[in-house]
Formats: sequence, structure tokens, C-alpha cells
Amino acid sequence: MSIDRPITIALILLIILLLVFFLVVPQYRIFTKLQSDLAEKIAEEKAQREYYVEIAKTYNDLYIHADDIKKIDDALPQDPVLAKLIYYIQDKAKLNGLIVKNLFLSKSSSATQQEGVTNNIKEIVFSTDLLGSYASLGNFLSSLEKSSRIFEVTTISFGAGSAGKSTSSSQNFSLQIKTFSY
Amino acid sequence: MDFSAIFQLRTKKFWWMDVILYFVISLLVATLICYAIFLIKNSMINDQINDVNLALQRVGTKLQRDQEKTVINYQSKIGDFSNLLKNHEFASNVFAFMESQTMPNVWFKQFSLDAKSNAVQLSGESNDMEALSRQISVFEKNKYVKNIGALNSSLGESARIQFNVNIVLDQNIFGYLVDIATVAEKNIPLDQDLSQQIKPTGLTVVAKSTSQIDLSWVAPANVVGSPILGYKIERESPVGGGFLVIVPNTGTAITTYSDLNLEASTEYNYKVSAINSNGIGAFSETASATTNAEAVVASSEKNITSFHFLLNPEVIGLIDLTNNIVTLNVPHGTNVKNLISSITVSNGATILPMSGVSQDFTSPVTYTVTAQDGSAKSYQVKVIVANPPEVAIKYNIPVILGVIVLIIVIIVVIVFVLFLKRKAKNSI
Repeated sequence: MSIDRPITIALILLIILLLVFFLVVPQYRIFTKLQSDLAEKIAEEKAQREYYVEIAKTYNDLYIHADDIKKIDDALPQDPVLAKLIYYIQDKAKLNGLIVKNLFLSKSSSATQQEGVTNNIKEIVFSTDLLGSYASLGNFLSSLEKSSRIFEVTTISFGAGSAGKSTSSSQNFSLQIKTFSY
Repeated sequence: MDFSAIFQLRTKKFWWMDVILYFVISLLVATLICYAIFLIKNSMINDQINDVNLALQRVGTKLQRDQEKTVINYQSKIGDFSNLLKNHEFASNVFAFMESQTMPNVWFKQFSLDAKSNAVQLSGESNDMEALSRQISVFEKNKYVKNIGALNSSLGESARIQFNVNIVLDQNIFGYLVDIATVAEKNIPLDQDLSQQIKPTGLTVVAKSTSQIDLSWVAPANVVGSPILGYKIERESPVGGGFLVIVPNTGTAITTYSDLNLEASTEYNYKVSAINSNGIGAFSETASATTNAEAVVASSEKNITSFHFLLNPEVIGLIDLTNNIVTLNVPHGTNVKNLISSITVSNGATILPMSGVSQDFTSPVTYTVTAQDGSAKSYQVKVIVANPPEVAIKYNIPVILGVIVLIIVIIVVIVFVLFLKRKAKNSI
């Protein structure tokens, strides 16, 4: 049997062309795409590992600074614990020579907006009427400001007695006190 | 057109025609081999991607995810807390301001502060119009007063001037960095002779605890025709650092005061001056006291706070304080028989084996941390060596197989071509 060389050559060239276009080139494209996918995945995996190493470092740092973290937890407790708050305010008022005439929760919000940024801080606002001397009020305010928990007195109003005797007699004070939880 | 040339190509036998035929056959084989190589390579890369995906899923252990949650939570909390502190307001600064700015012969009967709008509403009385005018002038000149509005005054029943005034304060007065001493700018002092006469005497300061000093003094004998309305107390710490006002006006004639929330083992100097309707008198002599020292309590803290291997890159241990286990993942090929650790423990605690000493970690090593109070806690330190990279093995087997297949294909093609040639020769 003899082969017809020119036809065979032409046929083989045609087959080569068909193979290149329909098999080799698509596979080459898949190959390059897979290579870039693999590089991305490897980079992602490396970044994830580095991320968790950083997390572990930061976690250890948090542990080292546990005292400072506790201060933040005290200032912004996870749970508002209203009963504890009421007791604290009453206790501070009593220690500073003030009588709490009434105390009520006037507002409790779930989140606050500061400078256009939403944060997770919840505001708790108390209104209270106190009876005592002006000096006691000053000491009470000072105690609240020095407290490990953050308190802000947003409004204060009071009336004094007659001129010249205002600082020594008992007076009624109305205060609005704001505190925070997380 | 002459087609005889094409006909000759078909009938005659040219040596170069054989060369071209063999060349295109080789090309066909090469194309098939290329296709096979790409198929094999793609399959390998797919396997590698699957491996990396699996590794990605295994990256965060439960402990690591818990730590991540804690860190993210605290990151957000610390950010919110610092924002809150930045905007924190101190209403007591306004009191210090009011006390320092109130002029003699002026009394405030009603006070109302709204920290949101920085507004203070005041109602009061003054002896005469001149005293009121002087009071308003003092407010106007103060840097913390932004605006004075709605001022009205009238002659009251007791021949005194009754007035209402609204003051808008500068937001900075509520700030933490505003020193009360700077807010409380000086009142107009009494003239020298009068001020010396209302000077408190016999100031005694006694340390009561680690954080409390009690002050007592003797009221001025002569109050120059006006009763004592309160006392101004100043404190100096560190000694030589200058006195700062701690109480601008006690608001009472009581001659005792307890200074709270002080630092332990710290020396404080105090001086006191009396206030009456004429103004503030001279300061008493300075008295000094040192708060009590804190009793030293041996700490019971015995935690490992960090555990590192000094490798390149550094390997950081995951500390599980609940189960007292430290886990370290080291790269494949690390010599675990000779690893030097860098360990930190709670303040005052010690650890054995010591930090910086070479250890064999082929099996878990027990470290014992001893607290200041003598109590001890044991930690198991486990080292996990990463598996050898599977990619290298997987890469070699298909390549070897590919090469073998390629050689077989080439041999088969050559044999087939030779067979056809021989058959053609025989037939001639």
C-alpha cells in the first residue's frame, strides 16, 4: 500500500490546525487562568495566616494590658445594670451629703451618633432631684467625674435662698446625668 | 494552468516529500503531546487549588476565631471609648468658672446649665447697678464666654437690683484638658490690709489612708464686717510643682475638708484662704502630709502572657488559659529538638524551664509558672510541625507519566511509519 504523500501532508496539517484551535488553545487559556487563580489562592492563604498571627499578637497584647482593658470595661460595661447604677448614684450622693429625692430613668438608647459616625455605645440618661448644700453638690459632681464609669452631667438647675446666705443652706438641685454602656 | 506538477508529486517519489511528511507527523505528535501536557498541568493546578482551599478552611481554628472575635470587639470598643473620652464634658468646670467670676455684692439665686447648648441662665441680685455692671463686664472679658444675651434688670423690693442673664459659654470650658485653675481666673483680691486680716490660721493636714488627707484650720479672727462664705483650698503635688485650686469655694464656713482619691505614698502641700462678700483673703501657712503607703500584697498571677520561638519568621504561640495549653505551629523542616523560646509571664512570676533556654519539643514540654505568693500553674507546650508540601510529590508523578506516554507515542508513530514504508516497498 502506498500513501498519497501530498494529501496526507495536507490532511495532517488540517488536523493539526483543528487540534490547535479546538483543543490546545482552550487548554492553554484554562492553564493561564488556573495559574493566576492558584497564585491568588496562595496569596490569600498566606494573608490569612499572617492575619491570624497578627490577631494572636494583638490578643496577647490585650492580655498584657488587661488592667487598662478592665478600665475600659468598667467605663463602658457590656450590660448597663441599672440597679447597680441607681445604687451607685444614691451611694455617691449620700457620701457627699446629698439626699436623693427622686431618680428616674428618662432615656435609654441603643446606639449613638457622634460626628456622623454610628458607634455601639448606648446612652442611659437619668434625671434626679437632690437636696443638700452647694458644696455637697460640687463634691458629688467631682465624685461622678472621677468615677471609673463615665458620667456626664448634661443639665443642672437650682435655686438659692436669700442673698448672702445662699451657700450654706440646703437647696434643691435638678440634674440630668448621662452614662454609657456597650 | 499546468497541473502536471501536482500529478508528478503524486506519482513520482521525492526525498524532500518524505522529509515534509515526517515533519508534519512530528508536528501532529507534538500538538497531541502539548494537549496532553496542558491537560495534566491543568489537573495538577486544580488539585493544588483544592489543597489551598482546604488549607484556607483550616487556617482559623476555633481558638483563633474566638481570639479574632475578642480582638475585633475590643478594637471597636477602644475606638468608641476614645471617641467618647474626646467628647467627654466636665460640668464641674462651669462651677469653678462661676465661683471665680462672681463679684462682691452680687448674688446668684437661680442657676441653670444646659451642657448641650453650653447655655447658663442666671437670676440674682446685686447691691447696686454698679456692682451688676462690673459683674457683666467681668463675664464679657472672659475668654470662655462667647455671648451674653437676654439681660434684664429691675429694682427689687429690698432696694437691690434684681437681674436675669443668659450666658453662652465656649465649648472648651467642658473639656478635660481645661485646667480648673485656668478656668478660675483670679477674682479681684481684697486690698492688702483687709486680706491679711481674714487669713485662716493653724492649718493642720493629716493623712488618713492611702488616698485621703484631712485638713482642718482655724477661721480668721476678724472677718472685716462680713461673715465667711467659704474657703478656697489649693494643693501642690509634686512639691515644688506649683499650687492648683482643688476647691474654688467650699461654700460653707466649716473649717475642715477631706481630700479624697489621692495617690499612695505621695507628699501633698495645702494652703487655704477665706472668702467673704468682700472677696478672697490671704492664704494660710502651707502644711504638708504624705499619704499612707499601700500594703504590699503578693500577687497570685501566674499566667504565660506570650510564648514565641525565635525563628525566621517568628512563631507565636496560641495560649489557651482555660486548659493551660500553649500551641505553636512551626514550618516543615524545623528542628524541634533544639528550639529557643522567648516567654513572658505575669508580673513578679517566674517560669521553669526558663525563657531563652533551648528545649526538645518532640513531645509536649511542661512549663511551670510560679506566682509571687508561691502558688504554681503548669502549662503544656505543644509544637505542631507543618506537613511537607504535597505539591512537590504531585508535580513529579504526572510529569514522569507524561514523559513516558510521550516516548511511547513517539515510538508507536515511528514504528507505524516504518511499517507503512516497508509495506509500500514490498508491494513495488
